[in-house]
Amino acid sequence: MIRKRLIVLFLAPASLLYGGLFLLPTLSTFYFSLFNWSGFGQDMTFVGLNNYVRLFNDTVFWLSLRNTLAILFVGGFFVFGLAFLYTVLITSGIWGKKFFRLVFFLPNVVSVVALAGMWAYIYNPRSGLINTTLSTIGLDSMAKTLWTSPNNIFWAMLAALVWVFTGFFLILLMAGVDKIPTDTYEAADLEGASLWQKFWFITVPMLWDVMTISFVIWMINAIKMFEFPYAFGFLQVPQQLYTLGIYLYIMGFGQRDPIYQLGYATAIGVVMLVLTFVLIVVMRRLLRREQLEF
Amino acid sequence: MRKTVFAFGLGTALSALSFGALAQDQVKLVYWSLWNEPEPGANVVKSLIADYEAAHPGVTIEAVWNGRQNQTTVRNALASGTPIDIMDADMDGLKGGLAGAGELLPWTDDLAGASPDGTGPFADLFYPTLIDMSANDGVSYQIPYMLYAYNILYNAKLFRDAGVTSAPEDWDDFVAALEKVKATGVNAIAIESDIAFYNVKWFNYLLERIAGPDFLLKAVEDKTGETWRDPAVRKALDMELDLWTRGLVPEESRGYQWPAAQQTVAFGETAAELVGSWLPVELADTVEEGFEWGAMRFPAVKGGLGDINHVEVNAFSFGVLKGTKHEAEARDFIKFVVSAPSQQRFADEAKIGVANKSVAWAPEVATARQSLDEASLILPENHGIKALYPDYSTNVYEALHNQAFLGLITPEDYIEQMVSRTKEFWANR
Repeated sequence: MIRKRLIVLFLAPASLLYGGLFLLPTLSTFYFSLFNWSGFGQDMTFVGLNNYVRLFNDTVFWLSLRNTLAILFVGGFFVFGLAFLYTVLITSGIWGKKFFRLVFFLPNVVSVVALAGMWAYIYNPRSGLINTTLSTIGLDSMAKTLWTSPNNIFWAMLAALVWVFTGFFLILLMAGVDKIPTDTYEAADLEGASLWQKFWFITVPMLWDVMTISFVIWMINAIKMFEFPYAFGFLQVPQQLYTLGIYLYIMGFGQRDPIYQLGYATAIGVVMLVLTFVLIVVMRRLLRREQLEF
Repeated sequence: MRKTVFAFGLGTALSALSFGALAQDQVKLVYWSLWNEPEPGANVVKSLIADYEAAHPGVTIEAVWNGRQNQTTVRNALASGTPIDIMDADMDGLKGGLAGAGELLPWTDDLAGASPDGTGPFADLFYPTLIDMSANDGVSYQIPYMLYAYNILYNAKLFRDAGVTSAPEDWDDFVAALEKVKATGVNAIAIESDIAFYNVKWFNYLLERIAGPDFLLKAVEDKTGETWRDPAVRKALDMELDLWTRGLVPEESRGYQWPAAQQTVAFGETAAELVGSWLPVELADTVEEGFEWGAMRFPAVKGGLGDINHVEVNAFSFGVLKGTKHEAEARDFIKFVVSAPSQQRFADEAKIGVANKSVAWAPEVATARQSLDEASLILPENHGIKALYPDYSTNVYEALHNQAFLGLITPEDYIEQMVSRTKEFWANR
């Protein structure tokens, strides 16, 4: 009994902080989403579920949702595809494992604004790294590609985003791989297993828990994606780069224009929360496997 | 001894009383600013604060440098009860934001009163219609102090080298002048593909020149959206797209992200850009010594209802928060900032255009000022829709125009989408 009371006592401060700083604001977000509210003063008009009906009929909301899902799935495919590829290569016994791990992780310690600025220079049509390199090696027609034109800017941003995030998930996956007993791989080597077979039959099953948690982290990051596309758009974010997070900000905080529809913006926030929750539940069900102990 | 102790005690008591009275009289104004601290404009504001404090020993001013999204920061601060006396933001933003929400004090009586330098009514200090333009339902809640005109800013030498010695006043002459510039081997027009609010100025002006200054607002307020099918819309689109077809805007501009295009102006590779008169200040550190700036009014269109002397502007304004406890001092400081000597300091040191019409602008923006002196009508950003319907302005008008302007959608698609999105906007409102 005393032990239970002690547990409650120790948990109380954290629970109060968590409840006060996260649960209550989350609940109040849903409450505010039922109002027309500019955020100035206390003048709020109850509109019921109208903000959600309006979202359903809002072209820009659907565009933002589409972009967010493209980041989640297309971006996720490349982030994890590359992270797995590099994990296999770096853990295959090549020289300089720590060096490569550091190089791939480096973008994560640099400010997002600086990274976005750097990519703007890389994509510059005339003097950017990509087009000057293509021109130097004789690919003149490709060197005329306008990477940040309205047709390409989303994919250009996504490519840069994949570059930023791959290193982070590479570190997570490599940490998982480092925990796999080396004798398992040695046994596979003795049996003549190829690199691919070792990856598929040893690494993936024994890395399942790390993979699941990595997917969850990516999913949360992708659905609330804001900083990088916002910084990539810089002075005025083109609509082609709108994510749900950016649209929420534009509608609630205006960026350059006095939009200030905080009630509507919180409705977007609620949709993001529900989307995150549903996708995580679905994904965890799909990825549920028997616990592997080693 | 007793006398000494008594005298000492009395002295201490009197000192305490006088300090107490001083502390009671001391006024601290809190000013939240749209400037970033390192900007030239912020340096001028700092020097004005120092001068004001020196002239008013009972007043101190604490400035908080928030940058251009100041209004949003102020909103959040007000919600948490932070006391703020004065703030500033761009005029249309303030009109649609704090002023519209009733959070600012009105200036009606002050504007009808004498100006700080006693030369006439306070309202007459400013460019005509500027005060009216900033008003909400006829009541002024803000005092403009910075003013930017949207003109075609150009490298005068490049135009002279091409044989263009006077600013064209008609669209056909304008296009012919740009063709001459292009023939000399430089690009005629600079476009930043990602800055929709720059690019939409082409369309704003063309629509105004063709269909008059009221057309845009009329089209937005038509709940059926059908006004967007007016032939003037198609004509304006075709005219601006013709600049691309003729190669007057280089193809690679479709991939330029700010500030890539304006850098080509600074380096003398491109001759002109349609932008606000802040450009010479932004490029001051990049252009070569002796770079000669010119600013031409947006040309008229033959047979159109608009006028070459209708100029679109952007302004920065001050507002006094309604929760202030130092209303008189706050108003007095703002009047000090818009007085001619203070405004002259902005013009000379920060090279920014100012709202006080008696002040001479810096040589770099003198031609922009001339366009305002000659203006018969001053138009707000996006002809008023930015302040009245900001979500439409950003999410529909500017966004779709940029797609059409950069060739992502055809003019037919643009018109159809404007019709349907205008209907959608009003249905959701």
